[in-house]
Amino acid sequence: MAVNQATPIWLHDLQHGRRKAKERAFEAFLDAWHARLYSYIRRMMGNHEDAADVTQETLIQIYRSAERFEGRSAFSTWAFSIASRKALDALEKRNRQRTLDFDEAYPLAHAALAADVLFTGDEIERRLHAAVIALPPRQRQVFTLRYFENLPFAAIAELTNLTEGSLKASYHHAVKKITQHVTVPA
Amino acid sequence: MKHVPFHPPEGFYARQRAEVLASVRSPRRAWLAVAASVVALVAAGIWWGQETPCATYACLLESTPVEELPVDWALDELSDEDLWFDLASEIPHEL
Repeated sequence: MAVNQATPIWLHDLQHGRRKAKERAFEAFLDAWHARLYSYIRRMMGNHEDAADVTQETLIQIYRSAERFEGRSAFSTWAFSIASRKALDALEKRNRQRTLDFDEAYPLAHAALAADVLFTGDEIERRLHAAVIALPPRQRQVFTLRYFENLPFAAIAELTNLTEGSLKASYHHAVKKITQHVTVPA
Repeated sequence: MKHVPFHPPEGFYARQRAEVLASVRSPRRAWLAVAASVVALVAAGIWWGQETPCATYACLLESTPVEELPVDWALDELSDEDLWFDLASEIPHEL
């Protein structure tokens, strides 16, 4: 694996360390990534309970498959790809019965956030997050990775197996829908 | 990463961290448990192999859990006399 400035120092032990060294490296990984992955997954899932379950599965998966990370992409791209897959799988299971369209989903998401004691944002942030939750899962993934996590389109293309062109189109649609709700009174 | 307008319940990260660490360590414990079971089975096999084989049904009754009694073997291998003698000796005084 090529070591560059973006390579975290614990990554080598997480991949190739013996048991104790790997566990110590995993703890360092948790220090750096636990809250970040939870936040991403929380935005994807829309509530704490589901986000907690998916985060746990993601962290365990990262530990178990660390050896398979080949370093061709940034570690962040790889970690987000695992989190995304887990979140999308969970969303698919949750939405199996019926998927709401954006205009149906937005007021429900807004009401849920208004009642969520763990949400501490103001009204604008509530509208923003309700609109994000109301997006279709794939569009939500693209928007969240680009807007909140600042991942470049190239990295998102790598982890979603989509072209940059289609990602930009998807992001543009998402921004358009979200802007309507953030700027107009609810 | 942009501002996060939500937070998990207090103590969430510490609890989940402990659960995740326990989970990634547990396969090792599971392997240790399997290894311990194998060692116990081998030891039991060695011990069992050193036992003098039972020649009577009473001996088998004494040394074998009820559900593992080799009833067919006993019927084939032991004479009627051995069987009835030993079985009778198990229930002599209640008749």
